[in-house]
Amino acid sequence: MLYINNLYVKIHGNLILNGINLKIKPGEIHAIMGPNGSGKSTLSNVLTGNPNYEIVSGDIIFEGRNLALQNPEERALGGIFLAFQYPTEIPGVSNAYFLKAMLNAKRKFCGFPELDAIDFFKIVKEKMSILKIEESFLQRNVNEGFSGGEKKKNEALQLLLLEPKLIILDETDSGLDIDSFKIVSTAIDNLKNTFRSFIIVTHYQRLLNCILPNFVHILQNGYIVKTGPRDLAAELEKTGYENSN
Amino acid sequence: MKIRINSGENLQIFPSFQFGTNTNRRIIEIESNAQLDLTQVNLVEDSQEYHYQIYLIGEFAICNLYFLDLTRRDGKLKTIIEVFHQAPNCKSRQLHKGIYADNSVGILKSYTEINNNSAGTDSLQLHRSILLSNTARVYIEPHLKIDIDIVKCKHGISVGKLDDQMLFYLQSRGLSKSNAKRLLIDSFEEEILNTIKNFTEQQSIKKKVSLWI
Ligand SMILES: Nc1ncnc2c1ncn2[C@@H]1O[C@H](COP(=O)(O)OP(=O)(O)OP(=O)(O)O)[C@@H](O)[C@H]1O
Ligand SMILES: [Mg+2]
Repeated sequence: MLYINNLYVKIHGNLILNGINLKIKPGEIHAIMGPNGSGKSTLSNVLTGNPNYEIVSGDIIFEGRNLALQNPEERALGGIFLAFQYPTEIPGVSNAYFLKAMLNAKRKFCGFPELDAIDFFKIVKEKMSILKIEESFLQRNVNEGFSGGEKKKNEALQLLLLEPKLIILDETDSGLDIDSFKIVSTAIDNLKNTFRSFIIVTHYQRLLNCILPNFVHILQNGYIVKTGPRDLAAELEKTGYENSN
Repeated sequence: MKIRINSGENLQIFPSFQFGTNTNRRIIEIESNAQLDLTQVNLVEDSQEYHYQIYLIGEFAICNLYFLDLTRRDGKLKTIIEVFHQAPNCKSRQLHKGIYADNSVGILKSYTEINNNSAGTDSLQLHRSILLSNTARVYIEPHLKIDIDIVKCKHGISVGKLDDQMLFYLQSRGLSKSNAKRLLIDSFEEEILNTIKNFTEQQSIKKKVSLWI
């Protein structure tokens, strides 16, 4: 499904990713762990087409297509979704308006008729109840003034609405309280199927205990220094990154 | 043109898209306990100028001014807004938004004067502009003249482009770049257009505005 070959990436002239190699098959779950500043969010953003990042060399192939040639919306419509570590605030745009535009963009792409307000609210409310999100969320502006945990829940809501093929979670677990963590991780776990793949960026084991990964990669200084089975996460928790390579 | 709003009355003035040519000056006097609600939308691609002089002449007079300027091509729009507080406990609100495309230019002079008879004045001016191209320009000159102590005055200016991170966030959810821009522009305009209370009129103006830029 996703094939990353010897990827080098720059941001504002600084080389951040130094030769990433990663292969993800449909249905696989890959965890990426690594110290602060090692390039985890950079990798996530490059996959989604953030224009701030420049691919210096290497390939990213998603379902046989060269991702570097696609703009962010083509990638999104193709099924790539990143739950951002720091979701953007958009003052003046109501969440309801945004979510409806998002859903309808996808429906249009898939050849379905656009949803009217009534059908939209039916769908969105169902997903909101799964995530135990209050209805007032819809009237507020996109992420504006949301607490850290609320922003993560809003990302999860978009995820449930779009049901993408490749789900990238960039520290979606950070900032969620104990109850919210259970709700969100269970909802995401329920999306698992044999076609859908996950990249889970996290610093903690608790999310990996819920959504069991097939592989754990350690990213350090812009490349993957070690890959192992799920136990690697538990091992890291004991030893830290210092002794991991 | 001169209009006087009598004591206790409430006048609403709604958009006219074009003021005719050259300078258009309107003088509006607001008496005690009277209120003016004015929403003006300007779609400009030639050379236009408009000039408002608002006098708050009776106690507890209120004026709410909302402007939306959209200029494109080689359009040039000059706006002069003068508000004179001349009685105690009056309130004035001014929200001016502009979107400037192509090679167009906006010039805004906003002058608020609070004389020594105007204790308890509450005034606010906000100017927010978006430049859609590297060649569009806007010049904003606010002036505030206050001759008395016991007043509440605030003003703010912001000029920017459409935010790249916002656009990327919307695109990463599948919205095309042009739809993402449209969404950000629409929401910027909304605050002004929603002040048009007649729903049919509001809808028809929203439509015209969204086709303009
Ligand atoms: N705009 C920028 N200009 C310069 N350096 C940047 C910029 N953005 C990110 N970086 C640098 O790139 C490196 C990788 O950042 P990235 O956000 O990918 O780390 P991360 O692994 O996600 O860290 P964390 O665990 O703290 O989220 C960091 O050293 C960071 O300072
Ligand atoms: Mg990060």
